[in-house]
Amino acid sequence: MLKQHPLFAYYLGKVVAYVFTIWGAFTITFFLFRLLPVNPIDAWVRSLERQYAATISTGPEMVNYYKEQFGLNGTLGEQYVRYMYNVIIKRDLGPSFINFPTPVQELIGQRLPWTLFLMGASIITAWLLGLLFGLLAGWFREKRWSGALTNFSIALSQIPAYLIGVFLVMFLGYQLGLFPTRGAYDAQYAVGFNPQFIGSLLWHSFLPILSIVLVTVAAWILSTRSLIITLLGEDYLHYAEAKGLRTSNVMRRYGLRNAMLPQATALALTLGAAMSGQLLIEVLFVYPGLGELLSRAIQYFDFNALMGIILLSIFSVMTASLIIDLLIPIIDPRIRTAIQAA
Amino acid sequence: MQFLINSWKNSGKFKFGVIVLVVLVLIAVCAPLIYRPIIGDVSPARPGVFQRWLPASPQHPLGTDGHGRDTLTDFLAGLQTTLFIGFFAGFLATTVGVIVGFISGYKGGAIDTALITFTNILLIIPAYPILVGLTLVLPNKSMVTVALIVALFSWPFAARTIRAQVMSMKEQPYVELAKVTGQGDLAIIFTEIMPNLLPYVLMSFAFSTVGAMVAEVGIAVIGLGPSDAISLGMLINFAGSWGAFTRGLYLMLLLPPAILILIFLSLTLINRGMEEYLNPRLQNVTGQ
Repeated sequence: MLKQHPLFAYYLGKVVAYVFTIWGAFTITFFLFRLLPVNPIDAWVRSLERQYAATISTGPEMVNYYKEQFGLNGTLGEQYVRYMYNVIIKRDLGPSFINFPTPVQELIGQRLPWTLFLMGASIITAWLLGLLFGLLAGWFREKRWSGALTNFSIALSQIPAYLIGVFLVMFLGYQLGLFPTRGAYDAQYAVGFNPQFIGSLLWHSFLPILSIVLVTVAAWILSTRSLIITLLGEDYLHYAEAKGLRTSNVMRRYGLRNAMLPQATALALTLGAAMSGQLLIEVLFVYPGLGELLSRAIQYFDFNALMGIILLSIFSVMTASLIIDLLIPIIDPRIRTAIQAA
Repeated sequence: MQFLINSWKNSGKFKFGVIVLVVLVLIAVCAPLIYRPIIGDVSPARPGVFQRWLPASPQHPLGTDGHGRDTLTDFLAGLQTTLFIGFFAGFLATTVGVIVGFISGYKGGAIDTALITFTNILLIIPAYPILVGLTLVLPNKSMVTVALIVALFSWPFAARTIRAQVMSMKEQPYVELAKVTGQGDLAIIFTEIMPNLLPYVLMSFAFSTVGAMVAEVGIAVIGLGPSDAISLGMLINFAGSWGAFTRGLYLMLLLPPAILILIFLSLTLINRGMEEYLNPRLQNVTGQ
């Protein structure tokens, strides 16, 4: 039956791979962290002892109680099954260790909007600018400035965003004092849709967004440029020019449109991958997003928070990829035909 | 080898990248000659050898840093360590990636599906938290250990690239010709496929090296670098802890990133140079 319906087989294969890959990644990460020789509960109970000067009996009952709270009791297999049950059936990611007893879902819920804002604004800005400049660089590739822009983009694309962030913080933040260097907004403004808050929000986010945009726009410029260059020989472009259409029109309607599909899919995949946030950028700019939470969770081996964030990241990347895989045959008839012919 | 010579002749980018990289590697190799006279027999990473924050002088061309080390030695040793970790991890990652990618692409079928699923799983897992978690747990990390940990997440990329290339090469006419004339599998692999695979292996190596160095800087910057050596990422971490931002310590803070950027740039240009030379041929190959 599968051989007779190749399109169905394709979709089924993609969904099966999706489920299996998420499960595999989830399991490997779970065991990887639990098998590390760390014991956060013991360390924490000991620190409690120190704080309360041993007025509370900190015997094994307390350790067991906390172990139960965090799901660390029982064998590794039991822990795994219990955790899977909690996450999938009860949608409960467990309490967070560093912010006990706040459940992890709540913590992530508080921080996710910040990361989404930061990453979303950066990626979309970089995409738009990259598409524009890539189009120009590819179209006018004989000109000297196109080559210069290309080389500059190659240079820029390899630098990790936080290194650029260091330069920006140093010069624009400290030396020139133009932008604030930490936090998401000034604490004195009430959160809401008033102009001071929004202004403060934008001002604080300028440097982190600039760091990410500078680095990612280069990659978009380069990929758009290559795509446009491969289109340059096409007949329909010659025809459009022969008809007498303005160059800007031709660029936009014939050039860019055809390069859009791969770039749009790449955008979706990039947005999916942005969920884990740029951890180092958030730490550098002390931005209250998921990355900053992740760094503290790693430090204290807060398993629940760690797994929660990693799960979110795995899930969003795979889902974006799956959506693209499912939509592509619908959007692009050439691929649909290729699948059916296979 | 001919491929490398042609890339050199063909591309200005390649020339620039190779020259910069060779200069940096030479500096790193000759580094002991420069810093031994200054610090004597101790390890460059050892703190407290000199007085802290000495200004520039004939004995200390760039002064000393906040931990009592000679600053010039800091940068030289940092360059050495970062290059070592990058190349070693890149080499490991490329080797494993080539082997896995080759088996996966050539054999196909169930082995391929199993391997590629495993590779995809590793690619999906966000590498950075796990890297940090692993390095947190090991208290005394040598450079080699750090390189091993970093290579762990770099090999899937190389495996993917090699697999795609092998899968498309399998269908090429010259391979079919070799099969028809009765050449055994092993002979086909070594005489037909390997030579054509070499450019991609080199590109994967350059790419993995950059990735490894970025990862190493990523963990060193938060203070989890190797315990017995200084790397450029650790220097950035130190600079931050000495209040470099507010005190305007430009040299300590900005020179390590600048050197890192130079290394990444040269490796990337080498990659682009090779890619541009290959490109006319690439357009004839149908990838899968």
